[in-house]
Amino acid sequence: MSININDLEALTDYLNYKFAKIANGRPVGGIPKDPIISEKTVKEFILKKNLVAIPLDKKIQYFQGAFDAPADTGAIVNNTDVRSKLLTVAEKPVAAADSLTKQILICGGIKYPHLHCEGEIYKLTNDQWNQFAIIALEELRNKFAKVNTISFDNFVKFAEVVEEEV
Amino acid sequence: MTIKENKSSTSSFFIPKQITKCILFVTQECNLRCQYCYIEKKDAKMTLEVAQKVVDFMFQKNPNDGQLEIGFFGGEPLLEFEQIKQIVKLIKNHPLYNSSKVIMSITSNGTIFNKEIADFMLSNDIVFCISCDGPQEIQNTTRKYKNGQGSAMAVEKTIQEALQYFPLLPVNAVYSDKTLKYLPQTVDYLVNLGVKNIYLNPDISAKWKQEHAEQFSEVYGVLAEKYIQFYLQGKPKFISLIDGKISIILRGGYELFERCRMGSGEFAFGTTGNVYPCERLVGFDDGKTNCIGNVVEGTIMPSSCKIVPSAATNVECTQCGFSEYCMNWCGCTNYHSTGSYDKVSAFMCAHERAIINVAYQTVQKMNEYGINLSHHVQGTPLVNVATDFSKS
Repeated sequence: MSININDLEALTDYLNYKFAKIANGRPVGGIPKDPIISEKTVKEFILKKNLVAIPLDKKIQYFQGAFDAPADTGAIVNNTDVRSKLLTVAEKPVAAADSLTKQILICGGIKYPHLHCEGEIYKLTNDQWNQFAIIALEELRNKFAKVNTISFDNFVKFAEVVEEEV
Repeated sequence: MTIKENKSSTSSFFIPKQITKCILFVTQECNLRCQYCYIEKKDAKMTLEVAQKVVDFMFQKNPNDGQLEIGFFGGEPLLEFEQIKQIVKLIKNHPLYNSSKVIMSITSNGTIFNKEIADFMLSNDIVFCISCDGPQEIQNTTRKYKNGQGSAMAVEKTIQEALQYFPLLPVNAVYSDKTLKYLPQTVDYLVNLGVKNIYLNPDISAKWKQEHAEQFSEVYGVLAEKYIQFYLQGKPKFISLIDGKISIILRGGYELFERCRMGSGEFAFGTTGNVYPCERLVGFDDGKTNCIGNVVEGTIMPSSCKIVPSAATNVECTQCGFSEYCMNWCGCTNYHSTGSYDKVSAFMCAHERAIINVAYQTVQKMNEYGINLSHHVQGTPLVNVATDFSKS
């Protein structure tokens, strides 16, 4: 999805769309949004692989798992009720956790391969993730073909002007 | 464009309804005189009266109970540890305070630390961050005490002690045109101390030249090799330059609210209550340059604040294939290097081009090694380090 930032109406719609999916206009865990540029690619991949979104009750289990087994941790939610339950869980003491650790765990971080799409989470196998990464990198290579450079020569002249005027 | 013309050089296309990040200058005094510091030193401290106004402002502007990051900064904030304790009380006693939403942090030069400070931060869920530029020969050159003495020994001792309390202690290293080539040694030094959470930041006011730009790819490439090796050894480290950009690459670019929100979602408060769009723009805190109001006087920015960079306005940037992956939107970096919030410097362009390329190649290599980076898509690569910590 590409947004023209000068189109206020389109931008507002876009932000409302994004924020409506997350509690109180902010992410509950991590960054629960889909890659902007690759959304189409993500959708195509999910359809091609017949992936099924993780059910809501599973998300809670995954989050609780963050405190019992950090190797398989995290959950992203977009539902207020679930969110409040998760925050209650998050208040439980974490062994040897400083505030930064706690913050990371609260912020989720699902340790297995997954994709976000339209507010849902799709679990992938390692093979599926590697296949997706190759597609994503290929998409990126095409973008990177068009790279510009700001010249140091021009910048030096500009900096001299600034120094003179200041 | 000159430095004087920067006021309305960016558009205010998106003013968030609530703030998410506030930095409090509890003091503008410091016991160090770092070569590149962008904060002018003076004997000025934030009173509790000013702090109360700032706290009220923060919660008032955050009515929807959203996440709020509150940072204690300076000068050296721990010079005023007693005052910080009082301000934390003000924050926690505020009727709108919500422990699960507020994240407090202290950014210190690492010369002041003891058990009382550690216990206070632990019991109040405060994130502790230390600045250290690397091994003794670098740290003692760039970060000296007022009397010219190097700070390396004191800071090293603090890092070692602090890691006992904060296993994921973030350490921030600044590199300049003179120390760029030593970045790999800096990472080795910090890793050997036990640091797992390494932030590397370029000195944006350094005299960067073409010759340095040509070194970026090589130096960042060496860092990337180390990064991969850490993964292969089963002990991944968070290295901000690499991890941050991998996340952005895998997620398809920066999202709007990930970008600079200076003056709309982010504020810095000087000791007298002056409001600035970013802590890196406080300077001497004269209430003029970059100042957008005063929280005590209640003259805060409403419509005057148009400082919301969303992207660079350089022609080269708007047509660049890297633009969505590049930090060309960082208003304070642009300001310090070009005098304008939305004009990107040649240094920034060269730096970003190099790190984006290196991160891209790193993803490719790690894919070949079968190392899974899917968690980076979520934007929380730190969880790697957390997992490593959980095993140790």
